[in-house]
Amino acid sequence: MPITLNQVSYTYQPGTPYQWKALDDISLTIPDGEFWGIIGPTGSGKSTLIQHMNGLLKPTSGQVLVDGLDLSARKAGLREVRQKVGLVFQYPEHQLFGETIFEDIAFGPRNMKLSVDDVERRVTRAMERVGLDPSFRQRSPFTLSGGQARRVALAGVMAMEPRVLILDEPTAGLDPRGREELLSLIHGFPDMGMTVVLVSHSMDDVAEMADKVLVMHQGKLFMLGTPAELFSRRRELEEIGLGVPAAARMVSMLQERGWDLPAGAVTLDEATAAIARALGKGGGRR
Amino acid sequence: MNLSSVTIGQYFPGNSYLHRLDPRTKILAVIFLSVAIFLPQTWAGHALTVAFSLVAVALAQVPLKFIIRGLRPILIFMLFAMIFNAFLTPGEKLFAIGTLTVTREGLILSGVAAIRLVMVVIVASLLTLTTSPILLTDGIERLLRPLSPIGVPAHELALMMTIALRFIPTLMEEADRIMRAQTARGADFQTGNIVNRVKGLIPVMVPLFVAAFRRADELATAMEARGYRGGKGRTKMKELALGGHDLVAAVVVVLFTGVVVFMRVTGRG
Repeated sequence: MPITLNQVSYTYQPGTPYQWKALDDISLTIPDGEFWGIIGPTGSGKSTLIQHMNGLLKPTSGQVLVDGLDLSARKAGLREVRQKVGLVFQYPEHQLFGETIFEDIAFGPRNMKLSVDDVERRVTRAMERVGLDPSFRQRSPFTLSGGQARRVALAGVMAMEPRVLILDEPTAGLDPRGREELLSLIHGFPDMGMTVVLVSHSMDDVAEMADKVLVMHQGKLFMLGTPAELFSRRRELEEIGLGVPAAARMVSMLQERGWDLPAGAVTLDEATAAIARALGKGGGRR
Repeated sequence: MNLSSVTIGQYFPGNSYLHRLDPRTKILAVIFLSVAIFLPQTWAGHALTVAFSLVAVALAQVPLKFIIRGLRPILIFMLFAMIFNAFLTPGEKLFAIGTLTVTREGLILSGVAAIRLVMVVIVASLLTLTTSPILLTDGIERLLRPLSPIGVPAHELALMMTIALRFIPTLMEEADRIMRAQTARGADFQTGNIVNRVKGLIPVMVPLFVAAFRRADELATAMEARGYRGGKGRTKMKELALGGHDLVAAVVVVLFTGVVVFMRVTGRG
């Protein structure tokens, strides 16, 4: 179920002194089964953008289509859309409320009015998918560590078995190990048949995984392309305060010094291989 | 549900005559004017207080929309006051609904009650619309300070108010965010009967309380870490200072209240 935005603009508190245009004329289509990264500095409109994708926010002007269904239409089946487009907010563990982890994860499926057996099955599967041990089921979510609590919150959305999963800064506040584990977990979601949209303020999070990266800046669509296409425009990215992953930066800087390196070298492995090849050919010496 | 439409005490930034007045002047003026609004017994008296309130509104240079929005919360209260006055005042009978009779005097009284309520709320909202929360609590603290020898904890009260005011928008935002997150998980806050709707708030209230307690804890630690030890010997970065325009405003308000009292006493207002 592709998601399409047509010239979407959104203004917070219009007509007051606090008026703030968070999105400005955004048009894009996210096709089925792709892994998209959305990056941009703080306040660039990333969070506002993703809330349009499941109808939590309605555009001030423009159109959002999910699977061809116009979300701004009155009484468009928004509940159904929200089941199909799962949204994991920033610090999702702050929204846990259940007495037990099972209760919390079951909240979504129960809202879908599924049978007791179906709820049970979905909770079990969701816990499995996010790597939570079944022994956690009867524990209180408030006794968990940060990383575990985040997995529970993630499972709460996964249990609705969405076709599209949108994650807003899923690694914020996690330690390096927790971050690594969560990212590799997310990396596996497209293989389960899900479209994934990963929001981050850091290139490193999305560089290695994303098919496409969307760069937001001041509410506008600043760039859209494959990671390799983006990283070749390092200077522009740095101007809006976004870094490029270390390996890609290395490649870009060598290119600027006249090295003959392919533009597609993004990850550490690709960069190493490309540089080794260039050295072998004597491409490094002028 | 849209929580951003709640404007209790929302400050409207500006630089009008009322904005520049000292908060103490404004607080005392509101007290005087509230008394003045409830005193008059004749139409001439009401007209006078309404006119004075409208001049104050004009001086605040706040869009009328914001002032009217502040009236919304008292609508139900006002309706009750009007209905009770209309039905329960003895006098010349106009018409009856069942055993309840509506009298001429009742209708007049309910109209007067409505005018008074609206005016008091408008005057009070002018205070919060033109005074930033920090200045407002500063003003209250200074006004209460003379009472601290008899055990009124002026500084602590002011601090509690500052913190409460400071965190109302934060809590609103938090509640809004949690509601969005639960909506994304299929929660529904808009439909269903009252029992289901209250039950539906549990997934919002629990995380909201957890967050509030965590935040209070962090705030206390942060304050201690910066050496906060209560109000004793504490200095202010910005001392409140009364100016010439405060004197003018105070004289005008006191004179006006005096005129209203005089009219009431002599039976003219």
